[in-house]
Amino acid sequence: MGDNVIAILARLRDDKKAVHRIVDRIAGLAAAERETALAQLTILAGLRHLWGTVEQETRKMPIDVDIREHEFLGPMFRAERQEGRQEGRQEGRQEGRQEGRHEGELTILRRLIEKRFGALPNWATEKLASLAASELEDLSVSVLDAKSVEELLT
Amino acid sequence: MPIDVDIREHEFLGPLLKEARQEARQEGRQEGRQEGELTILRRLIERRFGALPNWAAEKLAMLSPSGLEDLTDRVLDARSLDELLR
Repeated sequence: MGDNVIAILARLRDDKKAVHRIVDRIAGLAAAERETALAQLTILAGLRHLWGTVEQETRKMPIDVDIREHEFLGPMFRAERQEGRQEGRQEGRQEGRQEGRHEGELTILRRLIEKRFGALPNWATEKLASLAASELEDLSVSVLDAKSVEELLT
Repeated sequence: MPIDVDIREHEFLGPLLKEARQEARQEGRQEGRQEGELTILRRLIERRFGALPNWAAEKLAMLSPSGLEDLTDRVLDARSLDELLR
């Protein structure tokens, strides 16, 4: 069976079909053999970026093998998920923080400028929205000395 | 065991991941908002009244976004740091 798995994964171009065929054959094995074969398949599939396909195919398997419940694939699977979640959270938080920072700076500056010079004309609003964080920070200082919106923003 | 798969493309890990990311993005956004407002205000206040004493920096750092926005309306007219923050 192991040789079969290697042969099929290495040769066939239609990965999905190959995985389907292998899983089909695995389904016919006795329980103990099935576990081993499934483990081999999962490892090899990992090498060929086919893990998702294997997971899909095993879920369609006529007998009830859930990779998430598997003795050692299960924990591995959960670890992978955990790690992914953490990465995603970190990245998401970073992104959100940058966005929020920009929004916060813009809020305060707009308010300041309006307080000094009255309602902002459209061009000024657009100009402000297009500025980078560091430029907004520089403006916070010049807002005190500027004599008009034009002087401040052009 | 090196399982080389892009988890973001995964059938049911993908959505889970997206959700966690979305949640974190919201949290990050709140934090960032506060930071951004504080940055602008601090610079402005220092420009007007000189370097901030500790008590003032602490007070500022404790303010919520709406507190910081209120302060913005008063920072131009206040005559001293005391008047602004106490």
